Amino acid sequence: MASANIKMAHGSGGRLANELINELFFPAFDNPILKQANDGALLTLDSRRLAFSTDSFVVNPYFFSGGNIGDLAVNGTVNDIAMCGALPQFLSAAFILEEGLPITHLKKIVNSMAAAAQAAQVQIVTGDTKVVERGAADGIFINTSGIGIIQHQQQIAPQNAQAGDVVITNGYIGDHGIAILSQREGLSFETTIQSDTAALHTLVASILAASANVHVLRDPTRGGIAGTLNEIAQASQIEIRLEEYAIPIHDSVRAACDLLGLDPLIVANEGKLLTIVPLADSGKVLKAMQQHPLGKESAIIGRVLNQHIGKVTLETSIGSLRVVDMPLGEQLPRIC
Amino acid sequence: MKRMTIHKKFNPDAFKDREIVNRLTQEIKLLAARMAPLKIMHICGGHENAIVRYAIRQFLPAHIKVIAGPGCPVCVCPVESIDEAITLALLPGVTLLTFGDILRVPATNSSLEEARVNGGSVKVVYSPLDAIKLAQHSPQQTFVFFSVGFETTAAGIAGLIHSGVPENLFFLIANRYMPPVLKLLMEVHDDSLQGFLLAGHATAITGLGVYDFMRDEFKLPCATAGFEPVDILLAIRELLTLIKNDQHQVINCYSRVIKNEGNLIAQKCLKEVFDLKPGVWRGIDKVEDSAYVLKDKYAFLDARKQLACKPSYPPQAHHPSCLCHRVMLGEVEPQDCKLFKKACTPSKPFGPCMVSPEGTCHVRYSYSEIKIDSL
Repeated sequence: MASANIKMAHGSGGRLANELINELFFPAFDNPILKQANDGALLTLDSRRLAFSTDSFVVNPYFFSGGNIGDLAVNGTVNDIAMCGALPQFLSAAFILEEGLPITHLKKIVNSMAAAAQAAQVQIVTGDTKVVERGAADGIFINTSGIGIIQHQQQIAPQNAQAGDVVITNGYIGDHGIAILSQREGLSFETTIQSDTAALHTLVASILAASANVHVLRDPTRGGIAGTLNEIAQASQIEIRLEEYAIPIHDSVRAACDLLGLDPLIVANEGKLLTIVPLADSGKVLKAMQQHPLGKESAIIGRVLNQHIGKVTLETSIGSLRVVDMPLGEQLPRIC
Repeated sequence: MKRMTIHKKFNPDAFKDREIVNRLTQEIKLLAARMAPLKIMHICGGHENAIVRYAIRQFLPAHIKVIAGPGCPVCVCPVESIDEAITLALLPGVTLLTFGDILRVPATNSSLEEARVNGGSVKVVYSPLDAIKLAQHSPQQTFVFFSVGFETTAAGIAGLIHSGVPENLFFLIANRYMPPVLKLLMEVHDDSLQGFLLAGHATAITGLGVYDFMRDEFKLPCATAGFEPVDILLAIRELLTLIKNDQHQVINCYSRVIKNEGNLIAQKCLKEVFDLKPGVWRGIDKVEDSAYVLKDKYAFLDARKQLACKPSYPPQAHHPSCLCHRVMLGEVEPQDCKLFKKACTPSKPFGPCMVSPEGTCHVRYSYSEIKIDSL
């Protein structure tokens, strides 16, 4: 590896993060399931197909408009499992607490986790608590892991997008990242934007019921839709062409992005998914998504082509075409 | 394949209207049809960002080039000033306040970001008004506002100083005034440079008159432009019309924001607070009458006069292979630099143009264009 020490960018999902995974973790833990390289592992135990996933949450600040680190930690792992096409069942929760954290804060966070778990119909069945001295953490870090059951026979993977497919999302993008940023110290511009944190597994169930040909399911968290779609374009060796007009973005998110010099396409989401399905099934899927409470604003935002292989392109609102690059990564640390 | 439905309801602005863009594009093509190859330079990082983000160069005939000039305020800020800011940030009891863009710009030995890692006190603010609030909140602490930017930022600072600031707040001024640099650009470029797009916000402060010398001395037309695709294409069309008719006016194509005479109150404040002196533009040169300097009567606010901000080392501008200075002058494109996208990236910038979202290298890194072949 090129770096002597860990940098913030190693945790960002970008190039350095991939270097860590490919050069350190994969060789050390080498096995065929790990090499699926999905958000969650797909397992077969006693002839039952399961999805298993884990995620750690270090968001700063831990209370933000529209949620807190607690519901984020439950919904994040529920969504990782849901994106494997699985129905989440059980979660674990591990806490790393900094000396001095107000108990009232912890109570509020734990109550949010309980409410999120109940809403998602999953049970938090095991856990762990560690306390570190002041300064060794930042308030509270949470890890959650989860297991879900796969009940369908579809082949859903980032490698499966095909020319002729369309890309659908379930609503306005960029809300989570802007909600967090607007509350960071010193960033006092006023926005009414709330985090979109939500558990997406019932929406996924609606999609799977509407089409037997779902090719890809992903949640565009860190790196935004630009990051996730670039991974898919690379994995499937196709081009994904987005239409700028068609991408739902709140005016306030757009304005905040203009102010901060950010592209809304790279801003994190916590309650959004991207699904890629054949054009023939897109009407059915879109309708099913729009009938779900978390999918009312669902829209077809792009299509899969065979031209600029491995790239995401954007037909701008004025009709020009540009590349949407893989985001650099470390621009927005500790967003989840 | 069936075209997908376009959701018009998400189009927030008529200045991005595709039909108007198409009409302007056609008019530009017709105008340019019998014109010799030429260059138009813009001098605003916001313009480069909009041009690349909307891939506006795709709409222009190949022989009409729009090139980027020294329009990124963070990029032209001299390394000496950042060295001074770093020295101040490392002084006990001093907190340096500044806008976020400048944090990662490499200076002689380090950047402000590295200075912060090494124990320096650096705080990012989003408005100079925040500097007042912070200084009032901690009267025992000394604060220095490091002011970088062109006419627009300078006007904000002048207004602040004019209306009075807390005793524990000082200013390290590195603001630059754009018009004199155009003379230097005229020396650097050959006759193919035939017009300038003027920055929208800076001209809103100064008005159009400060560019009259372009008409009188150089016989070159200038046009102010806004930041939406229609604004930019409209200003290009107007410039081409002037060029074709051999006319050299300074015209206002952003009249919804810019008054021809500019902002008279801001101009009065600027005159009251600052003198214009010779100033270094990073990597470019010393330019006459281009640096805002606090007037003597405000010496009590001047960090250079009141605090120990002189570094113990001589300034060294840039890595020998870095072409930022030539990129800023519009002499080369970022792709011409052998460091671009290889050794030099936004996470490891060699020069200032790769740091700021307004820097030409950063913009080109973030938004690649693609050959149009299939729309």
